[in-house]
Amino acid sequence: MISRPSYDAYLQAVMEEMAGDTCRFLLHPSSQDHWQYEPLGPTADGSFPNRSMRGSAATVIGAAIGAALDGLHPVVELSSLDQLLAAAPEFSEHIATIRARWDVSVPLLVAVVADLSDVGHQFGAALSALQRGSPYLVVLAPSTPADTRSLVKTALQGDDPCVVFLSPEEANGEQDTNGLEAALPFGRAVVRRPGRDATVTAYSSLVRGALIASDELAAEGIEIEILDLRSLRPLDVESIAASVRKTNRLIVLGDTPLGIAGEMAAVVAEAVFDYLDAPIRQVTSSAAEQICAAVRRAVTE
Amino acid sequence: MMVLIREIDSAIGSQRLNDSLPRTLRRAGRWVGVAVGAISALSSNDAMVAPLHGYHYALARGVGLNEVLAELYGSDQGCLQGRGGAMYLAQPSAAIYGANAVPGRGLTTALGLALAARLRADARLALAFLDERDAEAGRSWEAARIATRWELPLVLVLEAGPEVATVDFGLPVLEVDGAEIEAVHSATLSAVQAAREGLGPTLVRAVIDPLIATNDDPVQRLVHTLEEVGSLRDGEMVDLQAEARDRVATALEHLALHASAVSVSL
Repeated sequence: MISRPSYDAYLQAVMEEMAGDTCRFLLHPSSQDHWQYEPLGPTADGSFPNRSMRGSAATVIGAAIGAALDGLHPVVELSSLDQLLAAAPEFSEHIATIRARWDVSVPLLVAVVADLSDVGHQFGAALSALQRGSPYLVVLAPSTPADTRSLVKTALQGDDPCVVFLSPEEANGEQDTNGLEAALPFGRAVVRRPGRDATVTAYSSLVRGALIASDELAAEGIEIEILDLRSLRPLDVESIAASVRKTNRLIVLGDTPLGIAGEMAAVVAEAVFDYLDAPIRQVTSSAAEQICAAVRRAVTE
Repeated sequence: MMVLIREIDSAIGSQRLNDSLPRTLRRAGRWVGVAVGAISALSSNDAMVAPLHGYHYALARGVGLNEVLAELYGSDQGCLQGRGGAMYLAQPSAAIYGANAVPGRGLTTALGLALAARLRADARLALAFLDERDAEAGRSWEAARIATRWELPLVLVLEAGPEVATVDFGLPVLEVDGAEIEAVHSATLSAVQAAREGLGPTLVRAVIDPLIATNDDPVQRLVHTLEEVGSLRDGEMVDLQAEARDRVATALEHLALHASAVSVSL
């Protein structure tokens, strides 16, 4: 059995919110295979009868938009980024169009089970395309079950259209999601490891790669500061800038080239260019050796 | 209402609504009776979606003439402050979820609205107008299938030209002559009642085939019927048309005076 702490944390948050409010609803694409996960997660045990609908990705997201227009706050669960691509016109364009033209919010949450550190090139397009094409979208990429639960609760209690990427690998083995801050505001990065020599920004399962690299680098006497962004839009530029003012070097991790990492490098360069002692380096991999190599180059420049 | 829509149609055609209007603006044409007939079968809090570019659905559903015309011009006086235009004409506050740009999208939206109505258990329903392109979109069929499985309170009204005159979405079908407003109204009323009783979606297939119809103009047909039963006295239709023309002219003048960046040649 594959462990699934982030998915379970998401499930817990959704079930708590469904229990507290009759207006939430779950929709699934018809074929479910979360690495052998049970289908129909929150409603599989029958605790919420008639609160779960199946259909193709584009249709369920289209229906979710209709339900959201009536205040239902639906959750759409997708088992891969591919399914999000299949529904891209609805998800990227229609939600934004409704918000811009009709001036109404479309409160819905799309949860995508996706390992952002292990994607093929067709998946790679999805994340950056979402960022570009969906000006009202909140994009969440937590790395721990606790953050996943908190951010999912924030999403379900708010009015924004959100997508959350559920990482199959948690950053630090943290399992206990009870007794935590119920809802975490969007756009707050957190320091996973403090350090003085270079800042490394990461999100979702990339944080794990950064943590592994940091141990290796520490053995060489290089202390990196790892910032877990947790949300990609809004992006906590201020926290990144504050860290760079301290370390004067920045390595941005991203899941694909032409993606989040490049955007982040541009934004941060604009904010704290004068503080940088070395070029910002992108690493679009979670492999520790690649992260280590980029950090070594940055600190010797 | 039909006379008023017909008057706006003709104003669009004659370029009295001048060049600042989008070229893609769609006239109601012979489908005017389907919109007016079906919408008159709805309750005020029912939700409605419309196909691409139709201005007359919102008008028939009760959005004001000034607001609709201004919206077509993209004016800040429009019902969406000019951000919707013809393509996304809507009034979400009144559950009019309007036109959209993609075939099949209307029915998936209506599916969600019907789902919301079901979960709230408040006897509301969703009505989706579909045009020929919606009828051929695979997503429409999937949405109809799901709505059937769920027995959702949903009514589909298909403006069935000859190309899609046999489309049924696998649903119970009430086929009517689309140029016969009374028939559209009563068929939609039956579909609405079935939806409210929990019997699931029904398709009202309003067929107009201009090649075989002897008279596919719903306005003329209604006038003829009313004259036959003596409900329309001599000259009343001329009066109605004059009144509609005045209303449109007044609305356009109002628009020219109050809306920025709009010039109207009257």
